[in-house]
Amino acid sequence: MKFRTFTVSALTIIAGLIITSCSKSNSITVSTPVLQIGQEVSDAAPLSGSIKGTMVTGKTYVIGGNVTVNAGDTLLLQPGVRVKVKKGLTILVKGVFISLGSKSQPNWIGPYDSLVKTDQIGANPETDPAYSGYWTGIACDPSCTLFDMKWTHLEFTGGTYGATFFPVGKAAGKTAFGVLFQNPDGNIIVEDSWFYGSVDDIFRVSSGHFSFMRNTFEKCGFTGGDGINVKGGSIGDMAYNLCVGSATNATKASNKKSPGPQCDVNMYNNTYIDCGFRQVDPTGRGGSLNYEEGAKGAAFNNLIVNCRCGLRVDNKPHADFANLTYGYNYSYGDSLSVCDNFYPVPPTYSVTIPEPTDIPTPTQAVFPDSLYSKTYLYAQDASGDGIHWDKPYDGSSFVQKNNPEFVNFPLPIPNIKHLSDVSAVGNFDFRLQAGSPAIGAGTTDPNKISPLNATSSVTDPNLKAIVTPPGADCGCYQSNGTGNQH
Amino acid sequence: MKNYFTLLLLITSFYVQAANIKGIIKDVNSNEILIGAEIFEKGNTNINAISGLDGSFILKNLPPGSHHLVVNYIGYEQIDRIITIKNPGDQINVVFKLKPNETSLQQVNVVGQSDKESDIHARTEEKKSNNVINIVSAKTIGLLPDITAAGILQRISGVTMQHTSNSGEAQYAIIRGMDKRYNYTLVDGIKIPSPNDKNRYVPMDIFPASLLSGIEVIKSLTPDMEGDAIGGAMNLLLKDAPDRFYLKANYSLGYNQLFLERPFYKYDYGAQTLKSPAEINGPKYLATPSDFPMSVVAYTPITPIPNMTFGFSIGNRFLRNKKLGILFATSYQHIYSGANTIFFSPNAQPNEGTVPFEGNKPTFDHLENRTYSTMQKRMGLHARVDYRMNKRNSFDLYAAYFQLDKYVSRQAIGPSINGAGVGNIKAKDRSKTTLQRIFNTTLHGTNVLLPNITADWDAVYSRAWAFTPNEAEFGYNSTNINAPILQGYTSIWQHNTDQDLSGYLNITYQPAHYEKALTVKAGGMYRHKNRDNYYNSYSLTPSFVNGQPQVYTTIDKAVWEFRPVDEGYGSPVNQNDFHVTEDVMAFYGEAKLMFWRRLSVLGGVRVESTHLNYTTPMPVSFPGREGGQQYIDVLPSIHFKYALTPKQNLLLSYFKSISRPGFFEVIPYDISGDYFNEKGNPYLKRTQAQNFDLRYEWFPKSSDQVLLGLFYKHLTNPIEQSFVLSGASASSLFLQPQNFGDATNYGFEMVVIKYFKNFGISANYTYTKSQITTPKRNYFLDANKNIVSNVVEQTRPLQGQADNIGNLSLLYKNQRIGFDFQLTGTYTGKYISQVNPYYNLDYWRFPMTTLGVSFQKRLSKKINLMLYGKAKNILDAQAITRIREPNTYYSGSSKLPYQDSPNSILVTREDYKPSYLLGIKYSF
Repeated sequence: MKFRTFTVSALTIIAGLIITSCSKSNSITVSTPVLQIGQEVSDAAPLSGSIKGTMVTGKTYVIGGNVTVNAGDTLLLQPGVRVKVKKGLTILVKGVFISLGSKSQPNWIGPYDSLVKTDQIGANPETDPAYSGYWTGIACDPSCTLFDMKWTHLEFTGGTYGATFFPVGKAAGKTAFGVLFQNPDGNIIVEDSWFYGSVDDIFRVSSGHFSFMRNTFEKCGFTGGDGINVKGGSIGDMAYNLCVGSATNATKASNKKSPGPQCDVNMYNNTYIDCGFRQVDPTGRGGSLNYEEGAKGAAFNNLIVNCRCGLRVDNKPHADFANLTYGYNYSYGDSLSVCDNFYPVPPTYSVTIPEPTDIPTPTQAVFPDSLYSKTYLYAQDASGDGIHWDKPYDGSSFVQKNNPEFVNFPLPIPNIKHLSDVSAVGNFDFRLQAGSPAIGAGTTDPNKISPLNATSSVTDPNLKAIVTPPGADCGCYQSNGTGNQH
Repeated sequence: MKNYFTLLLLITSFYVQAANIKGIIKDVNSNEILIGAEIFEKGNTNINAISGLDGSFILKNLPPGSHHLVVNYIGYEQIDRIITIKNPGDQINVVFKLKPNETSLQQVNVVGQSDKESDIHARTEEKKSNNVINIVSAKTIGLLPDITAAGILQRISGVTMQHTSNSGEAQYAIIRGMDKRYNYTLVDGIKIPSPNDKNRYVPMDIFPASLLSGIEVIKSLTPDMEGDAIGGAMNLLLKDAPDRFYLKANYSLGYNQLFLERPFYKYDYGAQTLKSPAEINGPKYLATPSDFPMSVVAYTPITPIPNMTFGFSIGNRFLRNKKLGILFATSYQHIYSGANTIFFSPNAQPNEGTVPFEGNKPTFDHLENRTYSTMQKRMGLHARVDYRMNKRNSFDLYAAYFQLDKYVSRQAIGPSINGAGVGNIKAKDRSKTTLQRIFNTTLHGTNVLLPNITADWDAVYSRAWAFTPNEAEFGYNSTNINAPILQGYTSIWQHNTDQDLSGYLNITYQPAHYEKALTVKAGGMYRHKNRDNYYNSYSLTPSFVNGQPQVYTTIDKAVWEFRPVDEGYGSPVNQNDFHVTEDVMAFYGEAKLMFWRRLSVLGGVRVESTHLNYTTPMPVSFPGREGGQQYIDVLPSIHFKYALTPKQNLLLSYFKSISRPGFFEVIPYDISGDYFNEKGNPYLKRTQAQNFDLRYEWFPKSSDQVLLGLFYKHLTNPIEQSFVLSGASASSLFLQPQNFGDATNYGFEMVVIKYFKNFGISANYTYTKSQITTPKRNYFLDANKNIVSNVVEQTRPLQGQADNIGNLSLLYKNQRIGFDFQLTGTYTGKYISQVNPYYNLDYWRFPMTTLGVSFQKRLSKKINLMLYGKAKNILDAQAITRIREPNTYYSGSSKLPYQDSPNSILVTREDYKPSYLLGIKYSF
């Protein structure tokens, strides 16, 4: 097991390096991943109706009407493609969708109109175009077998489905997710990409095998909504993602609507900044990473800064806490209310155990009695629930301690009224300064955390997931240069 | 000697001091007993009596000597008879047989109104009937505590009613354990459409009871009846034009005890527009929050004015030989009611349990204390003109209109469960107005074509329609560290129409030489149905105030927006917007034969062809946006009736029948839910059933009755909403109406009606047992303690089938002082009120006993004025729904409030309180 994990990890690193160097050389045309890929998509006129084939490097395409990639068809975006979607329109995928941007030639899929990003601190969400729901995103029907997105910007989604065009399970007048994926036997691979602005979740995986690696999420959700929200029948890794200003959680797993395989999610080496503050329901909910309703997995090496609450292991309905492991998570808070919720306390129904490997270290002084122990909280009652937190702890000793020392993000955050004022990366740089206490605070022990690599059935080197194994530094940026490349 | 009266003297010599004359009064022709006949001694009216419910009377303490007795009864010739008492202790028994007054009944076709509304008429009809039928007369209806047809129906043998949760009133009928979908509703024999937005079944609470001259529940179908009832058909009989001047009026006032204890919460009923912003302004209209008046969800506590019911009917016959009859009747009710409800809001997906393979432990999200305030305005209008042209031809034109407007506010507030000490409070307020209407007009004709061939026919236009204007709901949540924060607002407009054009024709042939022993009947019907649905929903998002979630204070201060702004179009195209046409054509032939003057056999066959088409406004890419179903059914039936004695019959019936899928069910809608998707099923087949009935009837007196019956039903392709079993692959997690092989339903019925002079008892009891097997989901830990789920089959009773149901009424009637009193109890055993898609988690309504009392008292001997009163639910029975699983919430760390049993989990407790009415009624 150990050997296999190591081999897989090593191979993936090597593969990653090859791909990276290839795209840097800028001379290789990406091979057609599916044999039946048709001809070049014409950029002569705005697209509408059914589309398939290849969008070629350097071209800009306008989606002028709702488009469908039919079952059996593939739409491929080569590096350096821009797709401008007119207001309210949908890309409906019944077949295969592939956007293979590269580091040097990222792809861009966003609004036809030029919307200005308001990334200054304290931008009013009421007027922020990030939450205007310009277009309805990429909706995959259950027949979609592969959604593969690398080095791609996806912006200003979350529109309302119009009268005549929407995916299975949605309806006219409903708010769209940024990307909807709903095939339990399909694969969704999302790497090195940027997601900006939505009204509800950016990613909703109703079911499927996934790999979300090294992406950046900004301004996800208006009064609710998550960055990545996966449900029953979803399995995979969420790692090295940078998440700033999500309405609720940035990464969430729930076995809700479970059609078969249990929701199993690894969340490791993610960085969460100022998440959870636009969620309008005060009765619970998370604010960074969250497991609930029968979801299991592992959560390690995450860096959680100024979020409404830390790792939430929900007790109502309860996560599969017996099969959920976590530790080595790093929390920082400017204010007492944040520090009081490193381990979510009431009104959130949480059974998160303070792990001795966490930073700050949950000392006996702060958590003085057995009410915070696994033996107490995980003792299931007759109905199957655990005993969730009902005793707040005093987080005052944590306030503004353990500054992770970002390269460019001063802590405590100066000149803000609310923590929700920070919702985008802008000019900030969330890499760690040399000497940051977050460096080396994580674990690489494969017994504790190793990638699920759930999309391994996709083996084409152009398409397959490039899985970065857990890194020793908490958060998405590693001091050795691996991790998030943005 | 003329045979118009017979006197029987039986002089017995009991050792009693006083001499008495006991007797019974009957119709000379039919032998029916006559209630309310007057018996007095000529010249000494102190010696007098009135015949009781069983037709009997007694004149007590008569001195020896000869007594000149006079017997008087309206519509009958007077009897004078001298009876001599020889000794002081004589006990004399007599039978008086009265002859109908020729002059008052010269029109052969005319049946007196007073007769048709009587219990005796009902018993006679039951006795005459070839099929299995229960009838409630207008007289009985007037005496029951109920004011709607639905309320009356629950008193009938084998019928249970589904109750509304907002006021606890009976609404939909379950007959012999067969859910509402398996029954249909007739008005004067004509099937009427439903104002329900998705289904065929008719809400029976729309019909005011005082408009009816009777209710029939027909449990076995003959070939001349429409064949789509498996449980039974409910036939509402409206008043006929009378044979003489007729006027009745009633007016009552009342109150529900609920509003002595708490206020009624009203909202701004007038602010709800019938049409949505998109309908008013066109589909391109982008609504703004100002299109949504918040007064619709602003609640004002009021003390309601008294409940009011009013009924009036008038009729007469005109022209030579009284050929023309006219009747007009109306009824209006304005009722305030409500409910206080405890509701545990479930988490749809259960817990997996703590040990492997335990599975499916119910969990709850939060507890709601629901406060319902319901205002109902119920109106019925009925007009009838009949023209008895001659003995061979008559025509009958009638129109009926029923309207029920319900205004329901629901305020739900309560703590999140599992949060002892957490202090989370969720509040949700909802206002729902539903306006339902049914209109029916029928031209009926009877024509004797040849001396032994008669045709009767109907031309029918009927329409049912309903509006749900601006059904609005919003919420606010708070915690012990937060002020209430405003949550979302939704608003739904829905309306539908269902319109029928139908024609019926029956030809009856009675060959003379068979002397009525043979009757042959054939005929057909055709109905064209048009059904339209409109649906639009809007969702408003609370705005951020100063960049922060909005604190809720009062609804008028709430700030809303459409996010994204295109949400202002509502749900422009919706799967709930659908159009259905249905053409049903049927032919039948039947013959009735008598053997040995004792055995009557009625048999025949009916052929029904159904052709349904639907269209939806869904995009062309939507699979099944249009479609249809076409099928033909051959429905044989045979009914044997054997007269054991003149008063006892044995009935044996077989009939085949069907139940068509609901209109919405066959449309391939696809709605994504939080826990599972729901899909329509265009391939849904109609349910077919073989029905057997065996019944013993005994009519010891014309007002008394004993009925004992057995029934057995075998259903093929019963329809249930369930998970899809086949394959059970991961993508198949959806609920869909489906056909499930076979189901059986059998039971036993008993009715006893018995009168003892001034006292009466009316009781019925039904035992029912049904079985159906459907797939359910199980969510559990496997041996390795991974959470998995699978689909397992579970056998259970049909939804709505109670094992034991019964009614018991005790009556007291004193003709002398004009006083009637009735105590009515109804028991409904436990039944599945809601099938849960998860294994073992069905919701069971637990047994409930309700008690009502009613009375009427004549106020004057000169004018027919009565004081009457009705009290409903006097025991304040609570409707309790449970999950029949060991209650893990009864004690221990997960203890929840209101849990009262370790053996079952209480999920809903509804409390409606008693209600009272007091009024006067007058009849000419």
